[in-house]
Amino acid sequence: MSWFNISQWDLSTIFTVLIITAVLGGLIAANPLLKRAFPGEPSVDALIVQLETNAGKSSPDWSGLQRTAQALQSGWPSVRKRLQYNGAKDDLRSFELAIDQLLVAIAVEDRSRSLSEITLLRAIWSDI
Amino acid sequence: MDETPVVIYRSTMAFLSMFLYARVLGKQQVSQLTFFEYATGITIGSIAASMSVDIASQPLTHWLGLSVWALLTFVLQVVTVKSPKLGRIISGKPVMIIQNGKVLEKNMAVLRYRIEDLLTQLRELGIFDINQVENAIAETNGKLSIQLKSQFRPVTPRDLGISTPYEGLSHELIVEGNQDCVELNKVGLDTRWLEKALHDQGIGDIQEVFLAVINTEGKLFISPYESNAGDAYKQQKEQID
Repeated sequence: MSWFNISQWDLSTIFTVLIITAVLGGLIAANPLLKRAFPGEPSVDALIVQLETNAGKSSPDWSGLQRTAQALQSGWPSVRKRLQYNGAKDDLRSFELAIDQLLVAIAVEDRSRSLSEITLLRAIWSDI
Repeated sequence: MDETPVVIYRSTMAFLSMFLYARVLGKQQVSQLTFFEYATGITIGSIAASMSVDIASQPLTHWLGLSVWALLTFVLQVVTVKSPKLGRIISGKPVMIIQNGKVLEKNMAVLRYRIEDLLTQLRELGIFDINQVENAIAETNGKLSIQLKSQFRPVTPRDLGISTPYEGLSHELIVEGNQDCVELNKVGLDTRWLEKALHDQGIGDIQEVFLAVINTEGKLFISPYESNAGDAYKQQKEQID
């Protein structure tokens, strides 16, 4: 470390800078933790898996799919509230739109469109 | 969706990050910055501004960009200090514009520096006659350093053979009613001496003083608070007048 003037940058300053940077970085990159289900909330991940499994069948259970999609729609606002701080507004809006379009596809029992909306939901969820 | 809390959160994060990086990147004044450092500062500020209000994208990407720019700037600063050769490549080097009273137009062309720019900068330095200039150097921060011809330089006490006493820095003994014990110790004085000196000028309490400074000759300048000034302040003013 002879090239670096340690007297100007004493260890406590370096640690302070690193700790503050780590705290700020940790807060800003906290979405993977915030995406986990909180107590009393449905797990978005689990609901998407349920949708994928059900819609993947050759003859899907449409009423079951509708219940799952509605659970996702009703549980989403509380998840969104905490994800909005570090998430992109465009992604959050697209996720909402994909849920709405999925409900329409389920209502008309359109399997291919349902599958495409579920794939979109999965992609947006992983981006958030 | 109410975006207010999101903007408040992101602005706070951007502000704290900028504050931290600005502290790390040093205390150079804007006037001392090279063009590259100036552009870097603007870029970092612009990324922080985007992080603050561009809620359509994730703040993480902005924060990473901000951190990388700050880190690269810091690395560049260290490299510039440690390697003068690289420093010259990165920051450029000073260029002679006037040498021995002659304007070097080729050097000016290299810098894309017009004669109007030169005359303006000379006038800003109080020189209205280019004949007075012996040498002029364009510094890397865009400023012009000049050396006047010897016959146009101001007369100094040394030129006149006058001996002058040593003048060091003054010491602030009281600032806003608070005594500075460290400064008192530096000049070899104590609180008792200070209180006596104040008492001699009709001031009963240190808290009545806004500023007290002692110079290297041991002269004490006291400026009491206007509200508490009273007779002591008037007395001191009368003495000065």
